[in-house]
Amino acid sequence: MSLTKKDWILLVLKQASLDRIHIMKAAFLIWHRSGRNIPDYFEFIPYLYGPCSFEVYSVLGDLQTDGFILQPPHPLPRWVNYHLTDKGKREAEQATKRTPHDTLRVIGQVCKEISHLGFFGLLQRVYAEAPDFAVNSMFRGVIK
Amino acid sequence: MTLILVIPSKEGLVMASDGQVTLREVKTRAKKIKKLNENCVWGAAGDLPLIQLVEGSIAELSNKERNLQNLRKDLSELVPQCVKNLPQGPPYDATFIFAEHETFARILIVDVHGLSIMLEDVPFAIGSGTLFAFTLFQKYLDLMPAGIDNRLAAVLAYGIIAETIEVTEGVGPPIDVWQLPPAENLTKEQLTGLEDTCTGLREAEIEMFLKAVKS
Repeated sequence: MSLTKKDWILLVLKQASLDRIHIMKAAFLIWHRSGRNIPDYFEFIPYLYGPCSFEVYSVLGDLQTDGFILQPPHPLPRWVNYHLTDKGKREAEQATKRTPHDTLRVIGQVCKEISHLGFFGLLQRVYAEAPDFAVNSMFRGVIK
Repeated sequence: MTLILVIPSKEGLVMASDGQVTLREVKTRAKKIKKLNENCVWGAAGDLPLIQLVEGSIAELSNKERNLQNLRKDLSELVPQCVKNLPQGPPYDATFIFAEHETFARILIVDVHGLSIMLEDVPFAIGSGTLFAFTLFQKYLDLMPAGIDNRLAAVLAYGIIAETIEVTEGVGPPIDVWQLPPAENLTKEQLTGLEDTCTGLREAEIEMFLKAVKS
């Protein structure tokens, strides 16, 4: 049984609580390191900050509405981490059982690599691996 | 209160607004930008009863497809007529902004007396926080319109509204952005993309500043 887009986000957040930009880049790197060939996966475009799939935003919204994840409010406009709820943890556990070991390894490796990176470091990592998705980035000039 | 701004670009223009409506002590949300035709959008800042009356009158116009130069007289007469049609009360106030793009960006501002001004290829803002918006416009004035496309104009517009919301009482989320031609309202996901881009710009500024401090 193949994974849904919701499953992929839950599997990422099972590894680490991440903010929206880290989730976006994790989802991209998982696809990129899987030979850019995952059936029914998010479709990425080279956007203003590099690879972006607007579907990631809508899936995050759906997961939040359905009570699988939560994002504490923050008084300032900053990226704030999403966390799995108990319901989300159970769903992520089920998704893990349906996921091949190699795929879980890629997800774990990507999350481990990027979870500690700041914004610049995150973009550096992604642009180095996939320069074709950095072509429209506003940050290309300042990311060395 | 409201903030609505227009930013011209080399291929069109962007109109953006905050989304907060304040009714006495109650805050709620509303879309403040409307489509007039495929080349023109409009918004208003001021008293809601008047704005909604004008919206109804605009909807009844039979010549909405004409350009702003041709519509200017009708729109300038329509607003004071709506003021007269309102019940007696405190003086009603509102400013209306229309923005279209044919071969260049044209902005029409109309006040409650029917006085109007027409501007071409310049950024403009109405409502609360206007001074703050104009201050931020200044940094990028040389780029407008030829130096930026609609994508960058949208980032700029979103960023200015977001920063104004942080410091100005009475304006609040959700931010709305339209671009034209053709008149198109950005989706919720596209707006989230702009939000992340603006947050990234802020993060980049902070990181560069911190690096300068350390070096």
